[in-house]
Amino acid sequence: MTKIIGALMVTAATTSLGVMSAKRLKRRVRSLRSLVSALDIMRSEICTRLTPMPELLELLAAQTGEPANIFFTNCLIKQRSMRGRPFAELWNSALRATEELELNENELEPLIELGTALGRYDTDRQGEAILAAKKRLEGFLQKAESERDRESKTRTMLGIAVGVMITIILI
Amino acid sequence: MDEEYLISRFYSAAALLPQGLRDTFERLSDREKALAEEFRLRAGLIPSVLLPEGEKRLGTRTVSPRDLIDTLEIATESSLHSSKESIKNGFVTGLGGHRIGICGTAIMKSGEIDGIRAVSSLSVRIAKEIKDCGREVAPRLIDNGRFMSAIVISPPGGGKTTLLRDLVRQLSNSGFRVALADERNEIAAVRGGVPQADVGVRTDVLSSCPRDQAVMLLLRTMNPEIIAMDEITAPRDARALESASNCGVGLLATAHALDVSELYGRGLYRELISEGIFKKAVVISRTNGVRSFSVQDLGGLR
Repeated sequence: MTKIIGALMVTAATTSLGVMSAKRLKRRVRSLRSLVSALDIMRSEICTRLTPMPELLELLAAQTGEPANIFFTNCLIKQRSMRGRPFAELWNSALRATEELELNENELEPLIELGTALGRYDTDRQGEAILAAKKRLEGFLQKAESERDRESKTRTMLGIAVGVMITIILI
Repeated sequence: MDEEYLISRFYSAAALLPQGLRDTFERLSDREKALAEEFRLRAGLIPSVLLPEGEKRLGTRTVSPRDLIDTLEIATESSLHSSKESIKNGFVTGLGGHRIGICGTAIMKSGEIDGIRAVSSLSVRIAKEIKDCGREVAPRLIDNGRFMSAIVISPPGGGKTTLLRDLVRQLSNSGFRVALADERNEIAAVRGGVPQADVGVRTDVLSSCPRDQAVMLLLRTMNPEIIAMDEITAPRDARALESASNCGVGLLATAHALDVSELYGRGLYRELISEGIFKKAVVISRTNGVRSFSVQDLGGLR
């Protein structure tokens, strides 16, 4: 009886590891997608409506999907608490504080570069910087989507298989 | 005036500067902080503060081009793009209503200024709201309950905007419906739709709109008894004022001039006075750093 309970526990643990790993792939896709669509809104607000940055951050925090909305909420909080500091500094600080984005250093890089252009230049230059960042994020998004399609089921199944294998070896 | 208030305005303007520069200005004495009128920042040179007796250079640290861009970024809350139209006119209005004049290399498009790049100097004018400075002037602009259109004159930096703001407040609070065409957002300093300066209880503010267009828009939409605006400079402003005057609306504006005869010597204003559009002139003069106001009838010049 103890052996059966132990086998079930091992299998459940490795399966949940597989499921979590698969979920992480899905969350990265969702994160990149929410950021790409946020950059679309940002570009149109800056270039067409000339929306001031505090108003723009409020709008993005309210209208974008998770987890981009958490990032823009953090930007707003930082803007209030870091008054008088360059925008790039608070933008970076908000990026680092938003763990929900689940992005690696390569994926964060275009966003960090974008922070140095926002709010400092005319609409054309900011528009170009947003487009450049969006293009790079779209590349990462495509990669993340194919990785999710390819590996999502594999990781779940692998979790179960490893659990079963360990159980067989132990028994 | 309350020194504490003046010092608080100094700090409000200094908050627009990057930390390194801010420290330099904040080393001034309290007396100098209260008297300070402008911060002057020129790339490659030591910063200076404009006091009533003239410019005083501060510290040994020179201003870098980066300092100038950082100042604009802080002042506009990272929203330089939102001030595109005012930058074409060489200024932005920062938090707290402080006006920042910009010099650099003009970007020309179809013969008109489209922006300024390579910013070389900034002048941060400390906005001060001096309540009741127009208390004795406002009643002298009213005759039998009717507002007599007036033009406030002084040389640059003479306090026209400060007096105009208080006159708007006084007239509004005394029962007139005032529409304020605040092109530079310097009079009411509107933020999020709410004026940061007290411009009275019956005042409607249209900010960041060219004066001539603002006058026509306010006439059509807000049913004003008085339209107020800062600095008439162009013939198109004068034409808009003529239209408003023909509709029976009182006008309150400002212009750069030392006195009435200098004002009358310029074609643009001579027409406005000759046609009876302005009936009174409020002249601001300064003796030993103390401002005084006189109200003159313009009827004799017609």
